[in-house]
Amino acid sequence: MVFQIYGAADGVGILDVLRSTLIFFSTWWLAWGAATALLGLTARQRPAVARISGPIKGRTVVIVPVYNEDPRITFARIAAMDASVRATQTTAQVDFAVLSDTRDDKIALQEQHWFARLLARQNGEGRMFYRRREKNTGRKAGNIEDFITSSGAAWDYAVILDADSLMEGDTIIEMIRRIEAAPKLALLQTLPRVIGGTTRFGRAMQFAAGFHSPIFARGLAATQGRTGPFWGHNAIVRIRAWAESCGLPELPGRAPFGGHIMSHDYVEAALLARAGWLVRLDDDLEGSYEEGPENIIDHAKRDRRWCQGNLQHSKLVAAPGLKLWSRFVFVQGIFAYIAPLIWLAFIAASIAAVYWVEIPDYFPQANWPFPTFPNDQTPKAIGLAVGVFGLLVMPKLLVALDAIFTGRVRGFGGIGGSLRAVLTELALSSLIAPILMAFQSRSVLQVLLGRDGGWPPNNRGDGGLDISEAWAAGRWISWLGLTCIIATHFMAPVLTLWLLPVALPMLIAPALIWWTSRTAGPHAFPVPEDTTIPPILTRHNAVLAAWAITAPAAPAALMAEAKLG
Amino acid sequence: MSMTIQTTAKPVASTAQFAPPRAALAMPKQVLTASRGSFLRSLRNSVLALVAPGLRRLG
Repeated sequence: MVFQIYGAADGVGILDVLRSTLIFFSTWWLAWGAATALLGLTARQRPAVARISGPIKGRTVVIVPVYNEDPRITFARIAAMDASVRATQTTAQVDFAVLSDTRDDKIALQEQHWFARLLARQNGEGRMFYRRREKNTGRKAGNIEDFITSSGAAWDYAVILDADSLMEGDTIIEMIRRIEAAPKLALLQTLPRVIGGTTRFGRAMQFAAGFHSPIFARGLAATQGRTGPFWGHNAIVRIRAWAESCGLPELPGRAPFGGHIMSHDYVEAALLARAGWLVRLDDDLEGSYEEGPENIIDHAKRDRRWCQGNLQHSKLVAAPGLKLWSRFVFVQGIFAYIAPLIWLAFIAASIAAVYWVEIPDYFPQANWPFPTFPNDQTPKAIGLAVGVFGLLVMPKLLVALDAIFTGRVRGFGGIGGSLRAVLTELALSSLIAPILMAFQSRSVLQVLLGRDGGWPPNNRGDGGLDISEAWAAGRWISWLGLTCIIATHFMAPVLTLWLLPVALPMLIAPALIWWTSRTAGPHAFPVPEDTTIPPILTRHNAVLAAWAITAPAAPAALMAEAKLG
Repeated sequence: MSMTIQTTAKPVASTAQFAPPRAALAMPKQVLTASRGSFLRSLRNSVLALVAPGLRRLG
């Protein structure tokens, strides 16, 4: 509305209507994000959830799907989690199953070797399992489905993890107690905290996930109610409900829109809710961890996969019988990826509007000697920019205030340290936002042009990039930024200054990609896990240290040792 | 430099022995595509389900 008034000062043209529409959708998206945060800040704490306190009757399997991961690190996580579960003195049956979809035979061979080490270390024969699929049909969802259909009846609950997930034994047991106490509860999601960040980008993401995400997640859970959310891992499911409701069909047509469902987690939550089951996020559950991408390139690769998966949901919005919120979650997920394109279109339309604007008639009345100047619309334009910026910044500042009043800042470097980190993260995320917008826009266009991104494995190294890697990945963004500046300079010079906050970071994209992948200072973006190392992480490091004494052997040696091949 | 693996694990003859137990469970494929008519019907039902508690409270 504000924009319509602003644009209508010199008469309403087609471009004004177009820009109004674009800014409406863009600000709607920002406003929705801000509203989620406000809801998270104001939502009351959920009353105490039901949990059984006596002996656990149900049998649980912790499933770890792997796909070309470093087996030593992954299997050390399993050893740590198993030890942590045993340390709870539980009498409950908690088994582990590694579901390998690894395509690389050398890595598969190492998996077998490290599984043998895992069994020996944890005395896990009969309660730890390993199997490798010959074909990875349906990717991760297909991997889990294969396990459920062939072995699911052996257990009542399954804790679904990612290869980089870590969970405290206490947390696993508490999840089992909660799901066993609620017969209609099919899925219980925890809010995993990101750990292991070392680079500037990784640490900033880790801080944002630890500091802001709990509030946003609480808001999201409040809106979704009984229908979610589910993020695909660090959650427990009731196997019978899962089997009844979550058999995913192949979508008609070819990839990227047809074929196997890529972002399966949202769909599984929607299907469980459709069948009348309860899907719940318990954000009070601690001791749930995951790792995040350490640089912009890895983030963009993961985002490419998520983008394709979310856009594929456009085929599912109309699925019969879904709850309204499940449909909205699909729309929201789609919008998350098309929003950058809408912003880009708005910028392009604004430049075009200035280029094609009619030259003002300073003497509209004949025989009148004094000029009539058009109304100055600058204050309204600034007001609009401040409003948009406020929607972006205000939620994070409110979360910071909330953290100060609730004392949550203690773990994040105190009031001074956390405020410094919030402002630095705001500055950094604003700086890299145009680069992420460029990557997202490219992903959307690729999907719309029918290019399947496939299923690239995750990089889980130290994340450091050299300048040549950063240049190779980001040079096209530099050229795009330069083109934008030159085009704006010639077509709409008055907008050049307005464009610089977007175009300048694009221009120096390779440098930013490289710089953010460098190791962060020891005090940058403090998180509670820096000072109080989670016990599960200590256990994991101990296993890794024990296993580091003997370096991984060459495949031939492994082959001989494992008597395989 | 050659490396030797020092492991207390027994050599693995075959990974099949470590496969999860066979305990099959049916997992029927769900219907996710709909004709236009059924979508509208489904949407109407979703909206009704959403507003019904409020209407009941009012009524």
